[in-house]
Amino acid sequence: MTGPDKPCQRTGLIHYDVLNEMVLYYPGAAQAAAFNESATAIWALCDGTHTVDDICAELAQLTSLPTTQLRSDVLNALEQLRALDLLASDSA
Amino acid sequence: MRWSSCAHSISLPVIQPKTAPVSEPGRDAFAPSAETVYVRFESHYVAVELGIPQLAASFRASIGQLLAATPHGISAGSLKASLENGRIRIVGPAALGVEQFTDPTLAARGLLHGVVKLLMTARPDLLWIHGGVAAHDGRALLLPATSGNGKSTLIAELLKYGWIYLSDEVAPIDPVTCRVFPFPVTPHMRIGHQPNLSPAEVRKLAKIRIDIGKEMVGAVAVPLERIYFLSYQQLAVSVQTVVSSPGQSVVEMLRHSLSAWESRDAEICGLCELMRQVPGVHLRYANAHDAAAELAHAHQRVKRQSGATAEFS
Repeated sequence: MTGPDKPCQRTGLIHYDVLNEMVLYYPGAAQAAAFNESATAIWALCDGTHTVDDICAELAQLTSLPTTQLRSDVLNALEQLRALDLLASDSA
Repeated sequence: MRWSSCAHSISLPVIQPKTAPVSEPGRDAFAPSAETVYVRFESHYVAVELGIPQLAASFRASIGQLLAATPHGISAGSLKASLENGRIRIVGPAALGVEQFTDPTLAARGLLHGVVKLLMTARPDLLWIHGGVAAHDGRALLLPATSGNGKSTLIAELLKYGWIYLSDEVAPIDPVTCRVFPFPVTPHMRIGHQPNLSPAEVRKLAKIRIDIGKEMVGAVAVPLERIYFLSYQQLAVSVQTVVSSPGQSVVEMLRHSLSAWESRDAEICGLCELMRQVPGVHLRYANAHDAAAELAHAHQRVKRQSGATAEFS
């Protein structure tokens, strides 16, 4: 499975920290989403400058897990973010 | 960092101000009269003018221990119910719109909802959650749930264990102190429940009023010990509890929020503050008696652990 080129957070989202997790609120869609610590780490790297490989490499340093193991999780997370309409459309 | 990526999301309902309908024409006319009752919550009150005796009786019965003999404190607004063309018409401030009913019981519910909205406007510092609340030894459990998931039945079961009643439906919470205020409308529970009923079948069961003495009703705000997100599952073999992470709990609480969508930002900040301090748990069950027993036992475990911690502090 190939992912977005350089995934980027869409604008208009409000972000809230709750302990080591995150809640995103999208007023435009009256939608809220909760992210666990891992999903929050992936989200933080969706800044329009990191490719999927870059994201995996960054997370490998944080978690000490191999990039091959992380790749499917990262792609699944990006798929979820896209399904929730939280990524900018031109990063699809 | 433990690795497992997940996101948990909901779409939030957009609440619009109501205008009119429900009605069908043709009911018996009600004899007009004028009576004003006062609903009291902390330092605020709502005046409700009732021009219909049957409605007055239904409303008084539903409002329970919130009824006050006289206005006391700060006015949060007023509602007026009158008879017009055979229909019960409820009018409040412009933002609430107008509602019409033919059934006094449904009209009483409409009045209660209007009262809650006025109090929510008067107290925007509080979180207003749809849920049942009971307390024991100075600690409260909040049971948010959609209709048919058994929150009223579970509250009734906890009362049998000697718990104190705070609410059957509306839970006003201070997110800074994590205290929940009593909102003791008259509790109701469904009757005729049988094993293996689906949630849709449960929702169709009739409800009866539960009369409880004043000594069983909480009078002051109580710290929240835990929040249980209820899920009635007809085929559950036993009571299941699953920890809800803080982020998931915020999203679950939004699902049961009574607040208007315009105030979501402040509300989410408050919920994050609350869920940093109060644990959330998903509770899945088929038998209310067993579920209440689990809640009571879990409370005792927390109490013992707190006591053990205090000894070493």
